[in-house]
Amino acid sequence: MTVWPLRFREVMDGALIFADEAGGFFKSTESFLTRYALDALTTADQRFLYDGGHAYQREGDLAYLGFAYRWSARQAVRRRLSYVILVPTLRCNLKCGYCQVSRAPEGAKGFDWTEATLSATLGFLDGLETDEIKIEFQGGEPLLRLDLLERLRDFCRTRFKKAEFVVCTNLQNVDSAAWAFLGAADTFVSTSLDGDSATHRRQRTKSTELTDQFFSNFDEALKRFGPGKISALPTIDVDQPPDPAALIANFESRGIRSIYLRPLNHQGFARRGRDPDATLDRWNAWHSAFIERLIDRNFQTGTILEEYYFSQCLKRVLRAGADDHTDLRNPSFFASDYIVVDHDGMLYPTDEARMQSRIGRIDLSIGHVQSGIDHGKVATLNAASLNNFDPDCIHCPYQPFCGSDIIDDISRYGSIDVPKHATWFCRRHTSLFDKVFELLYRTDAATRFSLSRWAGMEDWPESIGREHA
Amino acid sequence: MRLHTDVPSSLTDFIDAALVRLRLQFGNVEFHRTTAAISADADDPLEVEKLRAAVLHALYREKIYAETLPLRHALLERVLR
Repeated sequence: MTVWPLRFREVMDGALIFADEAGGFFKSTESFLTRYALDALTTADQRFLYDGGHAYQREGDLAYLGFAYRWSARQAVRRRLSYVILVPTLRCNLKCGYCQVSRAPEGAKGFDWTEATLSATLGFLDGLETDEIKIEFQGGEPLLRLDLLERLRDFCRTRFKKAEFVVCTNLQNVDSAAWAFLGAADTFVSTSLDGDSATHRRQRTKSTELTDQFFSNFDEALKRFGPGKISALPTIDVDQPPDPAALIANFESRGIRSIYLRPLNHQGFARRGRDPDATLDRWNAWHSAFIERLIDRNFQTGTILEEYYFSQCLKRVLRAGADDHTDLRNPSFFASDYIVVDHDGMLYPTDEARMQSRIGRIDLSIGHVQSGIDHGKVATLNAASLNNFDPDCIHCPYQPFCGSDIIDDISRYGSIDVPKHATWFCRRHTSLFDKVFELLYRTDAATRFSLSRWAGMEDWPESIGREHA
Repeated sequence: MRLHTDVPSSLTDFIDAALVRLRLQFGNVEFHRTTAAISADADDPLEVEKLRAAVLHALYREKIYAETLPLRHALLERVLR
């Protein structure tokens, strides 16, 4: 019998989590590790490994092919370009101190699409091979150029069999024309709600009047469209985090059941004067405590709230193919299924790449809407966009569930050569997956109630968390 | 306090690779090798025990990686056909 390579990591109470490269995992002990590493597996060890799909008898037998299938299913598939983030204007009517999108003042000139850029963008979209398109209008504040949004949407509705639109707006000023635009069945709203109103005011609106105006528009949007059409994302500054209870209440009271906690991104203006990793340990602890709070709250109320990103990590541990979140998948090929068109027509692989280029740190542009995608540059980026062969990741049991983010590495360290275990991305996701496995092996009813629902199951099967002495 | 770990003969081929990783993980610790042992100095007993586990785990990881590399190659060849 041959055992597929197992990676291991010490977790709670000295126990070890083992995982193979196809994502099969179990919990075991130091003595098993010693037997495995020193080629002294017992018959019981071998039986356990074979039953769990971690071993095979002959190359090409059913166990071998099953593993090969599961391994393949763990690799994100390159898809057709069908998700385009458009930045028709960089101008914004707020001045958030840490703005992640490198906005320009509302009255500034030269930060909107020209007629030539609009025309080239329409041509670029027209040239896509897909029949379905998702357009995300970013900014700046995209509602400042509702005329451009309308022309884009009209074009896409005609050109594609299915088209969906997301307007990422601060909902600060919404006139009757904007309400009408947002009210279409194929159009969705994404906004920011930084927890409680005091935090939202401090981080974004700066005044009580503007804060009230935002909440008034936010509630009006919920009243008009319902929570299913609106997502609200809090950006958390862990140096001054919102009160978790108030944050939860603010979402729950509005019928929003999924909360995506985003740490302050080390991009754009948020870079100023900050050590890129100073807050990481506090973020991990704050996030972990938030998950525990959700577990308690869910069990007490019998209803479910989730933290979106944690649920995504959980799903990636439990099954292959949970690759729809572009920030966490492997390989993470650039310009594969989504791309960004900036206010000047430049193409970027991600919004974060756009921000770094905008502040002059590095040119991560990958072409222009008029000339098309620079495939040579995309290939250069893609060469480093998978974790399978990284000298740190090859020893990590979380590799099949994790991803990579070289754009974030460049932003924080100016290089992609930093040992992965020393990066924000790795340390954050190691903490997240440690938490996932901590919860996976808990047996209390409260944890299992939340975990099963977050994973999309009614009940929690005992067979999920295998253990071996 | 001094850590001294005798390395079993089945792991001695992986000492150098393990030391590269250990020196990266514990930048403030000075590791030394003899033919079949790794030693290091640490300030407190807890640190010594942590290092002892880290040394063994690093050796195990390098052995597992080196010895299973042909399996990885064979798997990639099969799924990429």
